[in-house]
Amino acid sequence: MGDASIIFFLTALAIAVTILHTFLKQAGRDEFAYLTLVVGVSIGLIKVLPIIKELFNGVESVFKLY
Amino acid sequence: MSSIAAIIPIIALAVIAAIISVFLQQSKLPVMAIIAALATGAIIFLRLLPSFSELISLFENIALKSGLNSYYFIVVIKVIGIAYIAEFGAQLCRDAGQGAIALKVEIAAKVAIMLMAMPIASALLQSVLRLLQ
Repeated sequence: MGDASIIFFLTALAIAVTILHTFLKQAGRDEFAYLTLVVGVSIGLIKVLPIIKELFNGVESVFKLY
Repeated sequence: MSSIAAIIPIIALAVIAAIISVFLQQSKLPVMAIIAALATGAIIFLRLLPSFSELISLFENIALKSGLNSYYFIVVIKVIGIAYIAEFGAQLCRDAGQGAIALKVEIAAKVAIMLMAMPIASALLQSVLRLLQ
């Protein structure tokens, strides 16, 4: 069953990444600032991936697609 | 039977996710809005799946009672499944601004559906030919 907490996790992740990005950019570390964006997107995708897999498996079994 | 109780959390989830997506687009990570939309769509459909399976089994009962060939009914169910899953992916691509990729997903789904429906079309043609002879 779907669990809605992933959406709030993604929001918190985006807020944290935004703050870190702004902080690092102020400190003059532009390369690390960009790296935080990459890491944030990667963590978000990794967290969402199992839900997508579950959805596809569920659709496959309910609609008899084999 | 449980769908009336299940619809209110779905509406609440959708509205909250829409508000959060608008907020995420303003942040430094606008990609997260698309990921959140993906997660929301998946969660809502995962919650709908039990009702869907109940509905399909009810329709299957009706189809069995009417003496329909169960092969045709299963093809219809498969077509609905493919259409939904392709629409899900295509709409997400379109929301991300990639209309061209969305069109390719839709073409792939149309080809798959056409391939699945071809045996039924040929059976129909054969029965028409049998009537003509």
